[in-house]
Amino acid sequence: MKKFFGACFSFCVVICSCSDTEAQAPAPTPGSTSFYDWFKNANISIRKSFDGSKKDEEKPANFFWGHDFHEKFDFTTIDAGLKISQIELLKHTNSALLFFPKLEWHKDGSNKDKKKSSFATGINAEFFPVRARTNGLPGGLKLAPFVLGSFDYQNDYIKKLRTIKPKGFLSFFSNATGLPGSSIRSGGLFFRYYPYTGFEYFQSTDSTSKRASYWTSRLFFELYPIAAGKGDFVQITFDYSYRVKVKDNLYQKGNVNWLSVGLNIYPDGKGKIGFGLDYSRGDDPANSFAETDKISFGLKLKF
Amino acid sequence: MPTKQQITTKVNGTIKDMTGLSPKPGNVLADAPLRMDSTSLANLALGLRNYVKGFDPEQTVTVTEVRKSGLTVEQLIDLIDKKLN
Repeated sequence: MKKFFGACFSFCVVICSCSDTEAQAPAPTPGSTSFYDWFKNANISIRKSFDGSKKDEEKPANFFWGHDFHEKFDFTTIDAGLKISQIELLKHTNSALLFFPKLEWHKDGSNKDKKKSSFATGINAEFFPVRARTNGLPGGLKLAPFVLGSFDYQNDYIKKLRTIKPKGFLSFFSNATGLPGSSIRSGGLFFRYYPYTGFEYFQSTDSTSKRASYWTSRLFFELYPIAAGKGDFVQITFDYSYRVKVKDNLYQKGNVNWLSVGLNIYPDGKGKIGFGLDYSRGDDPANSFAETDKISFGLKLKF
Repeated sequence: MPTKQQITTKVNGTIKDMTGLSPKPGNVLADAPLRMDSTSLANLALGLRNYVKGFDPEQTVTVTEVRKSGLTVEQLIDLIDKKLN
């Protein structure tokens, strides 16, 4: 297929997103809570992905339906991750270790010749060995490291490739303005960024000799460019990854990169209903590094 | 043990140091205007754990509690107060 967006109009996105926080709340009482509350109380989060790094937790899940007028076909694009509950260890130490199971589904039919469809399940982990320094509390580091990891099993239905994917990333957090993770405010503008570096390993479950590994560097930032007052009206997310090949006889690729930029507009300022634009380019890590260059637009709903 | 007013001062001061804003009781930690993400909430939990254990080593504050969906500043203060008083 030619450039998918040459004459493509995609519409109607359903984006479901619970808060990026977890609940340890009692079981919901039928009839007493909304659908949104039920999700929160049930300890469930839905996001675009839980790909072993926190950056993806800021992005809502995408369900796009579209029509390519040039090639005359309908398509769907789905990027959804489901996170269920979490287990916390080291509760009485100066550190925190958390695990949570997840399910992910990624599907892209916008390109007839390069369709993508994969399903993954796995466990994510977060480790905070030491907290960031805070005024009024003893201890802590000005720039505190933390580690994010995951162990996934993925089935790529298009390439008929099943893989296991352990990965781990190191990043840093600080309360000092300007450093990673800090809240950077100027007037109504809000900005936050995280750099990541880590190792990713992919191995075919059908042929153990087929494997790939990358040393990966990532940069994520989110920007709220408009004074929100009491709400969130516009959010911009930017995510760039560059993977340096260590070894690869699985995907037959060299170094790969991935760019994902999102624009979310919520006229109600509550982050529930809005419009969104997503642009992705590079080698899609959620779909066996399939080459991608697409833009999608649609209505967004948050529950 | 600290009074609730002392706990309020400590929690508000910690949040202000982390977000650059003076929190109001009804502010949800994860939402605008505070916008504390999952990493900053984990760090807030570890900081408050340090504070709580300074008074009662048997008590603790978990990341899961502080990341509770929709948790407000006021509810966080109540949580700490309940653990210490």
